[in-house]
Formats: sequence, C-alpha cells, structure tokens
Amino acid sequence: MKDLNFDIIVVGSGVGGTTFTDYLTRKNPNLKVAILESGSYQTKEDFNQREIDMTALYYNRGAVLSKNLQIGVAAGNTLGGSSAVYTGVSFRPPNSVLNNWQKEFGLEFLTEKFVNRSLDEIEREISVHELPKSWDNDNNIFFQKGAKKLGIPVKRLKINTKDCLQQGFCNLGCTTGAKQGALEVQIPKILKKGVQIFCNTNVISIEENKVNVVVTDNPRNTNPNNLESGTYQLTAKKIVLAAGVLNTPAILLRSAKKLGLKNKNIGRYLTLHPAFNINGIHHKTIKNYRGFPKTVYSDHFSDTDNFYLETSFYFPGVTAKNIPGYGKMHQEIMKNYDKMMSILILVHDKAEFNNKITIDKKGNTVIDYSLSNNSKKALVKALQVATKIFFEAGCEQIMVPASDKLPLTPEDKKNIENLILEKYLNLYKTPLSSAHPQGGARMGKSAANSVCDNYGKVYGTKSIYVSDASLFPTSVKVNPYETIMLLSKWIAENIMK
Amino acid sequence: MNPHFKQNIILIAEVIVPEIHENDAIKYAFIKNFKQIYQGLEKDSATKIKLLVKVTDKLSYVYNSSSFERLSYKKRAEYIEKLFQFPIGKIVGGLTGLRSLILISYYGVDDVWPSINYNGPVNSTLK
Repeated sequence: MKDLNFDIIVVGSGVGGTTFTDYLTRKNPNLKVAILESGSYQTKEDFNQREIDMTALYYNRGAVLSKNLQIGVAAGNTLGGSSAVYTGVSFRPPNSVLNNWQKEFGLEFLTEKFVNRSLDEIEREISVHELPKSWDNDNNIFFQKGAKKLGIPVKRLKINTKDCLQQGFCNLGCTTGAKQGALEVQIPKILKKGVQIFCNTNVISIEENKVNVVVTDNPRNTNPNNLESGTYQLTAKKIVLAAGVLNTPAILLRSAKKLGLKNKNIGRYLTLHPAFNINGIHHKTIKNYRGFPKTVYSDHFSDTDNFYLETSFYFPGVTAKNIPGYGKMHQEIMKNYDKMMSILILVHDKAEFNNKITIDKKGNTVIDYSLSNNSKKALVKALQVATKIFFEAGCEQIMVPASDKLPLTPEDKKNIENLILEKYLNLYKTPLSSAHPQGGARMGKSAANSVCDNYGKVYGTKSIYVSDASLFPTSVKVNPYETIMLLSKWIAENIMK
Repeated sequence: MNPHFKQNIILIAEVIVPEIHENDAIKYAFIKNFKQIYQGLEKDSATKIKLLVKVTDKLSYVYNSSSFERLSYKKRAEYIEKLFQFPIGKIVGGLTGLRSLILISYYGVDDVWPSINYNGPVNSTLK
C-alpha cells in the first residue's frame, strides 16, 4: 500500500492546479504534494491530430450539454486539463474587470503593482508573445481586410508558444510541445520537485483534511496508472480544488453535508462566455486548416455591445456541427471547407445567481444555465457584424444561426439587420458553445456573496481552498488563462502563511 | 450498441448526411467512428441518446402510422424535419446534439476528406 498522506493535495492538473503547485513548491520545496487528475496520462507523444480519437481529451467527448440543452461546454479531461487543448491565446485581465473585483468583491490584493509584476513574470515563463504578421494565414488576412473596410479596429493576439510549427492542431493537443501549457511548463517542473500525479483518479467527496477518491483503470492507449484501481481515502493538511468550473463547485456540493457547508452561493454566478463559431465561403481557396489558427481579434464592441471577435479555425467535424442545417445542402456547403473563413464570437455574460453548477441525485455535475436577453442581443449583433466582415472580406456565402436565410449571399449585404434577428435565434437548434466557464466558487470579502475568501479558502472550512476559474466573481471577458495563473500564484504564495 | 439502436442511428444519419445513405463503405466507417465516440460518452449522455432514438421510433407511429425503420428514405427525411420543428424544445435540443455527433463521426472518416479538400493530419507518422 502506498503512503497516501500528503501535506497538500491538489485536485486537478490544469493550469490552476499546476500553477498553484509550481509556485507553492518554489518556496516550500520540502512539502509532500500530490495532484489528482480525473483524466488520463497523455502527453504530446500520445496526440495524433485526428478529431475522433482526440475527442477523448475532453469531458464527454467534447461537449457537456447544459440542462436545457442550449449550450455545450468544452473542457479538457486529461493531464494538463484544458491547457492541453486550448489554442494558447493569452490575455491579461482587463483593468475594468480587476477594478470591479477590487471594489465590488474586496479583492484588494489585485493592485496594479501586484498584477503587473506577477503577469510580467508569468508571461516570461510561459513565453507569451505577439505573433508576427508573417504568420497570418488567409483567414486572418481576410478578417483584417474586411474589418478595415468597415472601420473596425483589429488588434494582434498574444500566444504562449515556443518553436511553434504552425500545424494548426492546437485543440487536438499539440504534438510538438510548442504550446506552453501545463504539459510543457508546470508539470515537468513540479515532477522534478517530487510532486506525485495520480491520473484516472476521481474525487467523490472531500472532508476536512481528507479526499475520497475512486481510481479507475487507465483507458486503452494511455499511460498506466501509478495507483491500483480502487477506492481510497487520502489525507492532507490542506486540500486545493482546481478541478475546473465543471467540477470544483460540484465537489463542494457533494461534500457540503460532510463539511457542514450551508453557503447558498456554491455553484452560483456561473458565466460561460457563450460562443458561436461561424463560417463564410470565400471565392478563393483559403486552407484555414493550415497555419496558426488565430493571430488577430477585435475588442471594438466590448464596452458597447458586450462581445469580442477572434479569428478561428476548427476541424471538419466541428465545422460541420457549427454550420446550421443538415442534408444535401449542408453537404454541398461542406464541400467548400477549404474556402471557409471562420470567426469566433465571444459574448460577455453577466454573473447571475440563477446560473449555476449543481448536482443530480447521483452527484454528477449539472450545468443549469439560461442565456439572458442581453446575451442574446449581443450574440445577434455580433452575428450581424461578423457577417458584414465576411462580405467585405470577399465571402460569397455565409452560414449563420439566427438568420432567416441559409446561406446568406452578396445580394443580402444591405439587408443584414433584417435577416439576422433575435426572433430567428432558436437556441435548441444552434450550436452555441462555451470553452471559458467561470465562477461557481467565487472569491470575495464576504460569504454573503462569495464562496471563498481573498486567499481562496472556502468559507466555513479549515483546510479547503480553490485555485481555478471557479474563483472568478464575474466573467473576466477575455480568454481566462492568465487570470487563472494570476489567482493561483496569489493563493500559492499565501497558503502556508 | 445493440443492433436496433445502431440501425436507427444509421437511419437518422442517412438523413443528416445523404452520402451515408448512398455509400456502404462510408456508412461502415461512419458507424465505427460514431461507436467510438458514443462509447466514450458519460453514461447519462449515452442514456439520453438512447431515449431520444426510442422517442423518435415511438413518435413515428403517431406521425406516420409506421415504425421508423419501415419508412422510405423520403418519408424519413420529412419526419426528421418535423422533429426539428417539434414543439418540445428538449426534443429539438436532443436531436441537434445527435446531429452534432453524426456530423463529427462522418467528417472524421478519412475517405470523406478528399470531398471537402481536407488534407488531414500534418504528420502522417503519428500513431
């Protein structure tokens, strides 16, 4: 029997858990730390760039549907968590968001000095940089052309990659290790420091200083477990939940009775950064599936209309799913896959009490989320703007949800506002998705509106902490990677004090 | 997947992607991919898909006075279109989810890629 007593147990090997562990062990190298990961042990050598096989890197093969079946959430369920499958887009949290978190939620530690010093260091360590213009593939070039014609300013994205070969398969796992996610940066470092990682380990519940887990057999074609399959109770002085928004609040809810937690905010104030990925068919061959998928974005409508636009790319299956309709016409549209431009719409949704992570009778995660009217308005406006960009860029057919016509063609150019309308937005039929879930264990100065205190400690507990995007009091409005690292660093640097 | 469920999935898939109806080799490769994804789904999701397929079959008696399996291709297509307009949102939502799995399974077939001019993985030596 292995020694299953630790100083610290971290639940989750994504960017939250591994950044926490990395910073913790810098100042406390002698601590005995274990990371529990529900996914399998897979690294760059195990990724094969094939869509069907690589859906196994995600929870529920790519989409966990909300209770009302209106939105699918994509989250990594593998060593490295979602950092194994994200594109590498790295944003600093906007100042307006940080100011709000300081003022409304009492997160006083988020001073300009702390934030800038921390993010300078983080960005250095994970190799964040702006991509050169020479890397723009045709999709990114045409997006800029279309936006310029409409007077929409475009900015360059920052990415955390090193020696990237621009293969374009980021979301199926980076086969060369260029993407500087947890698999390449934090995990190798912490393994060297003696941190133990247990994969295929599912946390059933937690108690003060105890974690109850079930270890399952490793799936075929994945690396073997270092714990035999079975049920275990692990002990630790402190437990850090970094299992992601789909799991951290669910673990707290499953454990509420044992922990004596009565906080009504657990799981609440969930935001999903709802997204549409839409496509237009250009008159030229684009081959958007080669080259780095995204180099530019526009935040021009962020303050006025609550959305961002980013360039994007998806593989044939996901692209087909994103194109409305089915049958012969859909099949004909897909024949133009190599001419497709692609734009990602990301809507800033408000943190609302009724949107929540909850659990069913068996303790499984349930995403109970309804899109607000404001978010619907933002989606429709974003679809209109993106459609105009496609036309200005030279697209001849555009396929968007919330449209009265499929596909839209150049003669519709002057009538976009009448063809793309909220009344045509049937959320049961549209491929609305989310890759940036946030909240559910929000951080704040008071248990009246939060779940964790300013140090990530769960109110009403002695040994339980959170270190992932569940902490966000509201949507951070941008891709959340750096913000998760920022909060995880803060928690790691204070947990032993 | 039991044979009845598998058969009904194929019948729905043939409407979503007509090529599956027309090409046996593609049909075989499609169902292999679908099975791979389906077997990796969480139990709850897999159960819901089974239920949806069962409902599709049962409702066929109401709409068509016939089992789903016995409908002609044309009738099947008309019936699926009716289901996409069904007044219960969760039926439409479930069908849209199933549509996604079918499309991902079909476009994951290597032999389909030439028809959409997709060259596949960059590194063919990957396992």
